[in-house]
Amino acid sequence: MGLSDLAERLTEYRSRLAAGKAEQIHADDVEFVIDKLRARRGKLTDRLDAQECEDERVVLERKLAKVDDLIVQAEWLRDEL
Amino acid sequence: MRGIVQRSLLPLVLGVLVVALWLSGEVQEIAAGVAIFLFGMLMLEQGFTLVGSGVLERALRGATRSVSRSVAFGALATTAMQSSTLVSVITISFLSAGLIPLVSGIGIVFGANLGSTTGAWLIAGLGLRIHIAALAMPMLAVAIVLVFNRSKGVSGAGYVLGGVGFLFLGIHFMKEGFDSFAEQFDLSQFALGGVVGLLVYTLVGFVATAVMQSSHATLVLVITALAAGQLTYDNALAIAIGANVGSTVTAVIGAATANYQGRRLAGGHVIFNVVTAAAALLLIVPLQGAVAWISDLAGIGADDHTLRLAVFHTMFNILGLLIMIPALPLLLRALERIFPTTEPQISEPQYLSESIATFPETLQTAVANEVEHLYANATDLIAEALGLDRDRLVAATDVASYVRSSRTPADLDMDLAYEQRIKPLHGAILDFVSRRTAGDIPAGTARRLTELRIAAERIVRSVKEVKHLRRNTLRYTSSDQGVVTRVYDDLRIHIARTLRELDDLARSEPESRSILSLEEARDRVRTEKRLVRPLVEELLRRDHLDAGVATSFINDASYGYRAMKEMLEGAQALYSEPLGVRAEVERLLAMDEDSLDDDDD
Repeated sequence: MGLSDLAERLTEYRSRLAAGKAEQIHADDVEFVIDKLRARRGKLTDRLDAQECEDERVVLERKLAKVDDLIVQAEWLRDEL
Repeated sequence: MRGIVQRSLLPLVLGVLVVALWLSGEVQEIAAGVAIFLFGMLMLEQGFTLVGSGVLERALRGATRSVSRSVAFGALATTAMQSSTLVSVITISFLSAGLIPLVSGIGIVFGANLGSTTGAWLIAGLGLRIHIAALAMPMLAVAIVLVFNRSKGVSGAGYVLGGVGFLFLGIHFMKEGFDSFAEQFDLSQFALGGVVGLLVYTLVGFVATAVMQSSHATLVLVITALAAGQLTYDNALAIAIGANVGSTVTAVIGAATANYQGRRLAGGHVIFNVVTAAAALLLIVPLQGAVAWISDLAGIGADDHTLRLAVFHTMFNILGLLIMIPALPLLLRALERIFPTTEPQISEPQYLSESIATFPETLQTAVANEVEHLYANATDLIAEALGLDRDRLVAATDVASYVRSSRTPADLDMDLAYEQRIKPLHGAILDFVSRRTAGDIPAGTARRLTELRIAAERIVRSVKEVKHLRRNTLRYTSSDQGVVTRVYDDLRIHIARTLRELDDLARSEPESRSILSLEEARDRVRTEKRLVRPLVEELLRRDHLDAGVATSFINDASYGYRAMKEMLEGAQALYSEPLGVRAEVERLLAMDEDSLDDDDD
């Protein structure tokens, strides 16, 4: 999922918020999620450093890339909110 | 014989009561006082359940860091609510739901015993010294206005106020009744001295409390009778000891619907109170001496037997704590022996219990724990169905090698295993959630319970999908048959990685857990599912697969990817952030479920 998808969802969320069907998200709430993603990133990095099997390294690198992608999106979301 | 006794007990009690009420107007007044007092207790418990159970639940979670904190919590909560029953029942609920360890539960119950002694102080120090009926009237009038308010908080406050009003009114009637009674009849002529008196009146205290289900009611009766000179001080002390033991009857009844942890707690409560009572009976003479010494120091008059009784009640409960807290490790070991851990009854719920039904936060946690239990059973079964062992899979440093080396499937009757390990548990969750959501629970709790029910349904669906692909998977992976074995192994590897992902999420600490960690796995399901058809077509073109096997694999891969999708979507629902607004952030960042749908089947 790219930033354009996220932007679409944000627009949809804002319409729900305006209609009183969603709760207001504050920067702190996004920061909370970002902290968890960063913690996950740290764990994955440790596991990658310790992993010797090539197949498993590929899987872990894919996971890391996904977490990095999510962190970028979450930071964008925080700034937008 | 037991049946006959049970059947004849109620008519006997009612018969004795009717005769006594008919013979004496004063008995009517005393009995009405007891009834009003007990009604006040019920209102108080109802009020605290409405207004304060959420606060109490949160406070209880914080009380588990040490035994001293647990004891202090039990004492303070009981002092504030004047109901050790409510504290004990909530503690049993928390234990049954797996939210607090047994040692904390025991500590809370010990503390609740100490907290309940404040009741004697209130009755003896306040109830008998001021005209409390005058306070009760305005309380009741205001309370009834509040009780009918639509807001739960206001209504709960009304119940609490009304409860206190009825307690006061009940004490007033008992006091008046005993005062009038004393003018005509002297009950103290039945006083018994020595060891016999001690034992007989301890039994009286036990029976009275077991019948009224309230040691407070027994104590208020004793204190008012003592104040009216209808009871000797020595016999009153014995009744207070018996009342302590009698109060365990409520906890024993409460534990009847609880699991083995709840029973251990009730057992601990009984042992504590029996040991405390035995110590108090054995040490009655030095205890009386200590009470006299402390009372003299505190300026309590030698003839102020009601306050001295309150001192005694507090002292012998402190004595119980002094004996039992050092013996806590021994007590825990004994309880674990008496009530052994039920072997993980794979097909029976471990956390769902009727005793948690009135506590919204506990309810959510218990159902979530039970759904996790179902997930553990389901992922075990899925692994086994594909010829894998979940523990070895989780421990494997190279998942692909482990899967490719697993060529000897376990002897498994999949239908029977589903009937034993999945269906009954799923049925119990469904039944429990349906009953709760149909009742009067907060909207947020109902929403969460529905999400959890859906999570349970999804993992059950994933097991059913795996059932479909099992036959061919085992047929082609029990021995190396070339290309067909490799494509089925790849499917097994993908499912195995998904199982590991779920295991990883389940094992992570709730503070660091995020459903966004499933995003890579969800992404992989979406992309790899789309590669199945091109792969099969390529293998067919090269004559590496015959058409029949190719069709089977396309169908089986479909089952496999649907199974993975259900597992992952269910886990998202199970582990989403409990705070609505943070769950909203996660939903914004996560991929849409539609993206995982079977658009190419």
